[in-house]
Amino acid sequence: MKRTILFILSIILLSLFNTGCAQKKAEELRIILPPPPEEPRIFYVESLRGEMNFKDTKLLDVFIGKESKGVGKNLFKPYGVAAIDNTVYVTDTAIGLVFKIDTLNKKVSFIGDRPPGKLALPVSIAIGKNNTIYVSDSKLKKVFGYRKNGALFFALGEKGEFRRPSGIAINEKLNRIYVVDTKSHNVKVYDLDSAKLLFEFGKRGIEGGEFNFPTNIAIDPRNDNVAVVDTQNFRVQIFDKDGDFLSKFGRLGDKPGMFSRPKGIGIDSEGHIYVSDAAFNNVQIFDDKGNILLYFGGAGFGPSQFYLPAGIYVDKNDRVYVVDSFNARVQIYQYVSERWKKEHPEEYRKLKVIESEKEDESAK
Amino acid sequence: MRAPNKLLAAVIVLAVTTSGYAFSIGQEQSGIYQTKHNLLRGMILPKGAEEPELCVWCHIPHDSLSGDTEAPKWLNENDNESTFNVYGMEANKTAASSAPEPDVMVRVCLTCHDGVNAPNISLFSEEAPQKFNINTASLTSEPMPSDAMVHSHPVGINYAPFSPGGSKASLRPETYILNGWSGAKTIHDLVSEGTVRCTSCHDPHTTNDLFLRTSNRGSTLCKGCHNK
Repeated sequence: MKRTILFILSIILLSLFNTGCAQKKAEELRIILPPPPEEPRIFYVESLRGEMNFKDTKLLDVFIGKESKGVGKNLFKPYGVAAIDNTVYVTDTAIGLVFKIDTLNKKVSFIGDRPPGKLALPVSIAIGKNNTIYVSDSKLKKVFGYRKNGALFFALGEKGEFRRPSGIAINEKLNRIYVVDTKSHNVKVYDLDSAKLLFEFGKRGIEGGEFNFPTNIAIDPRNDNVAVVDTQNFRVQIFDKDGDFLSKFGRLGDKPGMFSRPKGIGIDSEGHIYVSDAAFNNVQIFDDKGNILLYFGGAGFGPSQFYLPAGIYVDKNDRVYVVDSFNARVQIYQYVSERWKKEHPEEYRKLKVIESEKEDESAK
Repeated sequence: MRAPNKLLAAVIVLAVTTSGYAFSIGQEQSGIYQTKHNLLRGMILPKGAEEPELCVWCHIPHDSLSGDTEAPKWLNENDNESTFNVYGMEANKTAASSAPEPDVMVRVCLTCHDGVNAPNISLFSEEAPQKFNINTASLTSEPMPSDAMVHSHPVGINYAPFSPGGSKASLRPETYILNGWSGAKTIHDLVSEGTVRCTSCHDPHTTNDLFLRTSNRGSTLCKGCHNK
């Protein structure tokens, strides 16, 4: 335990420096995991709360600023997240809307705020062709699809079809949407054009391929495999694209590699699996065999800390979005992939600089 | 370092568990076996499968089998001793704000009550059960629709019968005796550490549908604390 605390302390390196002629004090938050001199694997980018991000607030206020919760166009109780082209979509289960946070134009707008397709309890988000947005609603027991402008064009969930739809994921190549039905303990797979059910897999149980209240789902971009968080069996299960069971990992416990309330899941371009755990308030990273690679987080309001983390999304550039629900924010990290290292050689070099050496460097 | 953690965990577990709970599936008459909090309810276990304990969804057991765990591969330092801090019990602090925050014993419930695993619970502030107004794009004090799973009673507040707010709410003293409540003999038992939480009104181990500590017929539940 002592080591865990040290580990958390060592990653929070906050440095102040002067930015050139403007004499304006900027704050840089440096969270690199694991901290130097170990090989950097993932680093913190920023946190999003809503319109608060685009007002003249100091960086740290975005962390501590609890006053954003319940005021203005800011998140209150987020659950699911997805992102594309500088726009981050976040479901809010208390407010009953999807936040569309456009970080390029610094604008916050909403999806699902009016009929048809008005949302009640939006949970998970997936992005389809032409930046279409798909949202599951666990209360309406439906999955809606919206065009970029917010117009409804797709719906799943005839009466009795879903008992409680939650996690969703889209495979664009196969033109499929995978919908986890938590209360039916299975995953239903539909064709996106015809909205027809292709097949479903899983049933209630504890054996491989069976579920006990599964929640979230992610697709491995390398091989189209599907990873499902089997929340109340305390594990992750991996299936092929057609729902055939391949493997499982994790069990109940409080040590690295174990779970107690696993929720969100995301897979990066190299196949690493990120799983959030609401009871541990952390994110664990696994390889595709289920070996634990790294974990980060812990309970708290500070940077790289979480309270009740929920959905996870990894975008095409290996940015990892983690919903920090009780803290009413989304924390964004960058996975240091081989591709990223090649594309950002200078930034990669800086990640490996130890803080004390960094001071020497700036003194030059 | 580890022993005090366990002790703290045990204290909190005991505090949450003011009434007895089933230790095994055999004790069918009491505890959570027949409730929705038994997350195996309705499942047919495979033949010969070990009967699981039913407490584990809320009361996370410490893992004692250190032999079969591996150190995270992206860390050079070999370490098999780390354990995670469950529910943030060690970091039970509040934000840099004066408003009381729902603490660890509320967050325990919220790990499942997120609208996916279990009914969603949204904690809005005490003064104004709020509603998002799409026209002004802000939270307003309009009451939430009645079907919304919003708790009308605040949590995370102090139980202070002798404060101005407490007297306005006609709060009874903590020594007030409650008859026939599940897991509580006095108000003191409902507000551990003087704080109102989910467990003040709900006993997660009882068998009634809403897990109420006593029926609210004739506002009995409310009148347990409010002398109105």
